[in-house]
This record gives sequence, C-alpha cells and structure tokens, in this order.
Amino acid sequence: MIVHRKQWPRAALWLIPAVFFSVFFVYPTAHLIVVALQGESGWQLGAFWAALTDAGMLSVAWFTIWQAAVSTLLTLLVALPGAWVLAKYQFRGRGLVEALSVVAFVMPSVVVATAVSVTLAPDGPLGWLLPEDANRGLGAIFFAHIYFNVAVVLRVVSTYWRQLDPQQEQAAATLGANPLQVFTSVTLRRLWPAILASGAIVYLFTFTSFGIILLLGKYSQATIEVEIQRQVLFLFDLPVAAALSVVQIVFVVLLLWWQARLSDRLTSQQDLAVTDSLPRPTTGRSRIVVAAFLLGATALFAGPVLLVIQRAFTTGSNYGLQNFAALNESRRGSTLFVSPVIAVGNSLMFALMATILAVLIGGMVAWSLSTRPGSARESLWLLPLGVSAVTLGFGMLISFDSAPLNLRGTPFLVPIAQALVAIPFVIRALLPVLRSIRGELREAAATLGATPWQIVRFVDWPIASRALWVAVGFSFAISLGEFGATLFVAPTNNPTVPIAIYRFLGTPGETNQGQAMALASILIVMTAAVVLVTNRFRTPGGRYV
Amino acid sequence: MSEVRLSGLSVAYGSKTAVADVSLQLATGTALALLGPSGSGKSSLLRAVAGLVPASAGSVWLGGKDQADVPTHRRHVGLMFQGHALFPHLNVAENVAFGLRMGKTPRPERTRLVDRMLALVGLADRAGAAVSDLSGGEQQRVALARTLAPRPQVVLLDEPLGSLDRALRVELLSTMKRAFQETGATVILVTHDQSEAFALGGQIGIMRAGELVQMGGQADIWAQPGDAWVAQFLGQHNVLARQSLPAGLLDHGRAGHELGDYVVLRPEKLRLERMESEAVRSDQDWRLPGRVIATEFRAGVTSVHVAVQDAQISTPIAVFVLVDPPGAGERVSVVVPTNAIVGLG
Repeated sequence: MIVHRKQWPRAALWLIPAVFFSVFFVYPTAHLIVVALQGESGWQLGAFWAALTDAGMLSVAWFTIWQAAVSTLLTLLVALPGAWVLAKYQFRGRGLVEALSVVAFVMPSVVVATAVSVTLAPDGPLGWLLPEDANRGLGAIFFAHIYFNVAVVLRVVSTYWRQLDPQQEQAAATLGANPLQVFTSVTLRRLWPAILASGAIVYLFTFTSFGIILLLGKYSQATIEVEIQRQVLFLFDLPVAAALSVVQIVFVVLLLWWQARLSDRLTSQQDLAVTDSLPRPTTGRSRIVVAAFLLGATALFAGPVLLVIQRAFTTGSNYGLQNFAALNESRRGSTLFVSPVIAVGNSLMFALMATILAVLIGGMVAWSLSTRPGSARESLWLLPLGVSAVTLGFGMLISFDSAPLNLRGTPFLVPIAQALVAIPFVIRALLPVLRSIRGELREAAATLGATPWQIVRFVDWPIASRALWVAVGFSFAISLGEFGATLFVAPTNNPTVPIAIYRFLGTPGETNQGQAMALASILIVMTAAVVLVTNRFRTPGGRYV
Repeated sequence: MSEVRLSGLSVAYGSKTAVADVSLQLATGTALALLGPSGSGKSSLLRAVAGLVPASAGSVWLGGKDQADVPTHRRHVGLMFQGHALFPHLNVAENVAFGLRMGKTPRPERTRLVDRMLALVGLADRAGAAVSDLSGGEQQRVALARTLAPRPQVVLLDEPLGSLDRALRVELLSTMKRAFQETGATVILVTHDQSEAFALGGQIGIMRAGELVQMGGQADIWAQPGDAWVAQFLGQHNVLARQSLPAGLLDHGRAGHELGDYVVLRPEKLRLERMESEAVRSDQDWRLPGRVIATEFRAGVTSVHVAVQDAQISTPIAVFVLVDPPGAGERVSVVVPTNAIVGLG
C-alpha cells in the first residue's frame, strides 16, 4: 500500500461490468428460461419436468457426457508427449509450433469442421484412419476436439512440468527406480494437478461443443447444446429447450467450481523451481524425438487447414480461382445469398466492436480481480464460456426486441454476444500479468521518486500493455469465428463469414462446397494473421486458455 | 543536524501493533543496523520511514523536516527490497536510471551517473542485459545501484542479502560499504542476521515485538547486552541465570558492583586447565572442574563445551581456545577470571 495515493473509484470498475453482465447475460438467459416455463396458460412446470426425465433427453445428456470424456482423454493422450518435449527441450521451431497451436485453438469451429471432414473423407489424406463402415461422424468429432484442445494441454502441462524440481525424480532413480517407474510413481503423480486442470478445461469446451457436433455429427449424435438449437429452431419446444439449458448451466457451474479448485491447487504447489534455461537436444535419440514432435505437431495443426486452402483452389481436377470467383454470384438467386465482401466486412466490423467491448469490460474485471487473491470470483466471469451460446443468442433475441432495449435490427446484438464469449479470454490473458505486478514494484518506483501517475505510466502500463494487445488479438480472433450465438442474433441478410460458410455447407452441390472452402480459406488467413501478429506480444505470464 | 529522527513512531495494521513508540536519531552519513527476529517490526519501521505505511502515532523527520504530509516519492529515500523488485520490462541500465528519469535528470548526466553506479557495483559490462538473465547476486547489485543512483538522503535496506549464499553476502556487503562511503549516504539496514548487522559497521539497534529495546555502538552492545534475551539473540554463549551459579563465583564476579538476574561468562575470557582441581577461588581466578563433551572449530577458534561438575550449572560452558584444544572426554577445569563475568539487566 502506498500512503497518500488517491483511492481509485474502484466501485466503478466492478459496477460497469456487473451491470453489463446482468443486462446482457443474466437477464436474457433467465428471461428465456422463464418464458419457456410459462406457457400460454401459466406456468407449465409439468412439461419442464417431463422434459428433464424424458428418455430422449437422457440419451442426449449421456452422449454429451461421454463424448466429452472420450474427447478429453484422447486430447490428453495426444498432447502429453508433446508437453514433455516442450518441457524438456529448447529447439528451433518451438515458437512456431506454439503459435500454430494457438491458431488451431481459436480457429472458427465452422472452419475446423470443414477441415476435419475434408481430412477424414474417404479420399482425404487420413481417410484410411476410419474404416468405411465405421462411425465417421464420431471419429470426426473426436479429431476436431483434439485439434482445438491440444493447445490447452500443451500450454498448461508443459509450463507446470518445466517448473517441477527434478530432484524428486533424481532421488527416485538413486533409490533404484527405472525410468518407467520414475515416470509412473513420481512424475505422473506430481503432474496430476496440471493434467486434471487442463483436462477440466478441455472437458468444459467439449461438453459445450456446438459447431463441431452440428456440422460433423449425425442426427443421433447431439450434445445438449445442439439439442437446444434443434428444439428452439425446428421443433419450437421451448420448455424442453429451457430444461436442457438449466441442465447445462448446472453442470457447467459445477465443472467451473471444480476447475477453480484445481487451479488454486496448481498455483499453491510449493515444490516448483523455475529452471533457468532448457537444454538443446544433443543426443541422437533426443533429436529424433524433437524432430518427430515438430513434424507431428505441424502436420496436426497446419495440415487440415492447408487442405481446406488447397480445396479452395481446386475445381474438379483443376487448380484455379473459380471457387473464389463463384463467391460473388448467387446461382439460384437464393435469398440467403450474400456477397463474401459484405460477409467479410460484417465479420470485421462486428469483431472490432466486440473486441473494444470485451477488452474494456474484461479489462475492468481483470483489474478488479487482480487486487484480490483466489479464483472463485474469477470463475464467475468465466460462466459465459459454459452457458449455451445458443441459449444466450436466443435469449438475447427475445429479450431485446422491445423498448427500452430494442436492439433487434441494430448492429449491436452481434458484437455484444461475441464480446460475452470473448470476455473470459480477455480476463485470463490480463489477470496473471496484472497480478504479477507486485506491490513491491510500485513501491520501489515510489521510493525512486515516481508519482502515482508516473507509476501507472512507467510501471503498470509497460508491463500490462503487451498482455492487453494479446487480449485484443484474442477477442478479435474469437469474435471473427464465433458461431453459436451469432447464428441466432446475426441479421439474415447480413451474416458473418462463419454463418455464410455454414449456409454454403448446408446447401448441396459441388459449387457450394467449393465456395465454402474459398470462404473458409479467407477466414483461415484472417484468423491466422491476427493470432500470429498477436503472438509477438505474448508474455510468459499470460494465459490464453 | 540529524538526518533521521524518529519520535515516538508507532505503526499499526488494524488492531495489531507492528512498531511501538520507537524514538531514535541518526547523524548524516552514519549507519544503523536494526537487528531483530522476524515479526519484530523492523521492516514496518523501514516502510514507515519510506512513507509506504502510515505512522499510527509519532513522527518521522528527515533532514530536519517532519514527513507527515510528504508522499513517498518526495521523501528522497532509497529503499532496497528483499526481493529486489527490479522492473522486469527494463534492462539493467534502465532499471538503474529509473529514479534519475523520475527526477528529470538530463540525459547526459543520467548516462554518466548510471555508468558510474554500474562500475561501482561491478556490472559495467551488463548494462544492456535483461534483468531476468542475471544471477541472484547480480540482481542484488542492480538493486543497490538503482537505489543509490538518485543520491537519496537516506538509504533503507530491507534484508538486502537475505537470499544470497554466504560468500556472496560477504562480497556484496563490502561493495555496499564502499558505495555508502563514496556517496556519504545515511543508512538504515534491517536484518535478522547478527553477522550482517555487525559487518555493516556503525550503530546497532535491537528490536523485539515492535519495540527498540537497545541501541548503541557495536562494541558497547556486544560488551553489555541489555538483557538475557538480547545476549542470546546476539548469539552470545554462557548466558546463565544468576541462581544457577555458586554464590562464591558470583561474589568473585561482583567485585564491587551489582549483577542482574542473568550473567554472561565471556567464552573468550575463560581459560581451560587440563589438570583437575577443586572448585576453589585462587588469588585471581575461580575454577570449575568438569569434562569436555564437544568441540567445534570455526574460523580458527575452537569452542570447547565443558559439562561442569557443579550440580547447579546444568548447561555446558563454552570456552574459546586458540591453540591445542582438549578433546572430548578429557577432564579439565574452566578458569573464570573476574573480568569474564558480566551481569545483565
């Protein structure tokens, strides 16, 4: 604490985000549930209860739970060897792989679904992985979930692994444990908090997966999130949709609470020793391991999206720009047609507005949180991650259609929805860095003659600004690719690029598929560009996920 | 004129009192080492001098001015933190230049001062290095240079060597003393390590539970600790309750003045005789027969611990021996000259 410093209006830093969240998140979500439960003849709790115990509903819940569990397990299996390489060696290409993993993490679900289906198609490079009669949809879902979430495990586990004091392993070895025994009896147990924490995040993401399931799953393969969308859009059964939303919210809250406890344990571990620098691989075996990792990771992250780009330039058996040229023509004069230039323009405009909003609100939350320890409050702000984007989008649609908050037909609904999805990421990028500016640094500056304003300018800002740029880039990339909520709130005649791709994919015909690939390529380039530029500002403390 | 004057200074955190009614004065260019166990309030006192925590009572005077309404950044104190608190986004030279920049020192002058400070701490060749690339000892040197660069009127050191190994501490301490002499700074050092406090030179202040229990010159504090707690905290040997000693020995030591409830038998003034003898007063000295139970060699001196036969004295008596110390198990007599007995308050 520094004496004589003016007290900042801290209340405002809490109040503005709290009001924003109450109005644009809590209210529409609660409103939707209430509306759903109130039929024309009053409360229809019977229908709600029936929906909760319906066999179809239970099978949706069961599918959601187990597909997320399998996805998480597979992601861990794929990522852990990579985490080991990142934790143990310094090598050329390391930064590139880390950047690519982040690109994969923020790649729009529509694009990933497209890329995975191309990769795993019978004529695709990995078509052989799934036998003809196998359940292709399920395999594709797992592949896509791995693709998204490997970055989470790589980052969380490798950072933690690197900080583990190697003396315990060395002690085990001197006591006669062979390398396998050392790994299973010492290393794995010590890594467990990091594995659980990253696994919990992956489980959360795959549990609430929407775009991937919608585009890659068969009709019988619906997560709660997809089922909500079906019930609302096609079956108009609001009580069932509400029941599903409630189930999902309850489950996600429990999951977030558990995850918060895990990450508290992660940061309170006492036996962490930061290693100075990692060795380069010098032995033949370590070189082979590192090379295999580089090759495998690059192929995993870049392969599928490069394939999409390749397909975008392919018509029949010829290469060319036909698919891009075709983007500007609507063959059947479809009402759903929208010029790609307009879609790209919409996406950029919405993403820009969403980014400004997300960074302002998320920045205020992060600043407030940084002054107190503990992650329970932090989890509260992560809720939008878990609440169905569909619930949110649909809730916003029916909540803001009349005065005083009639936002339908205004350009604000989409950026607000996208900002709500991006805010948790902004908080997680900023919070560790803000927390790392210890009180001591500010005090040191004060004893060196810095005024309170100079402390903000010369200490707080230079340290936090890099993380701020990361937050900006991240919100922008996420807003660009947001699909679930945008699907509901985007004006039909003014869709974003992911919505336009979804429409192309949903319309049969080679030309439409080609146009989807062309548009997906544009989105890939936009997303990758944003992330790679942002990556330059990364600080060791900042988290993406 | 005194550079630092604390008058009845108290610091409280809520209902907990960290510093209680401390008064002291320091002349310009002198050094004070505040010595006390952790939680004794010495760091809080330092922070109150820097204005980082408010005084709950009393006042801080620097250079003859009451600092009550002076914010930290206008106090011209340099505080060197235990954890270095180096700015991670600035390199070595930029860290050292920070205070000069805040004080709007013109650039050529700034460059010159930074170069001088870095040379003083032996880091002239690391000016452009990132602070994260430095070793613990180098970071400490940067912190020292950064603290001294703006020429603060008072330098405050909060356990500055705590995290370093012994050899490095000795080396850095001599660097510091040289730097303080060169800049003529008034210094307050806070530490729980007696050797560090005594190595700084200058005055020693002993703190316990927020209070300044004793302050004085090094030799005085060592020769006459205020009470048994101070003597033990300073690491003195043979601090014994008066009633555990034979009355004859006390009469021998009293030699005309009163002893307190505790006495110290100065191990450097005690002698050992190999032959066994009765516990009798000779012309000059008192003898306590006993048996050597352990010896400990450190820096050329052997501490010989003798279990004396006297039933009242239950703790072994330590005697410093320079040459030819007896081995464990040998029967000896501890010879106690009059001047080896010091009474405590």
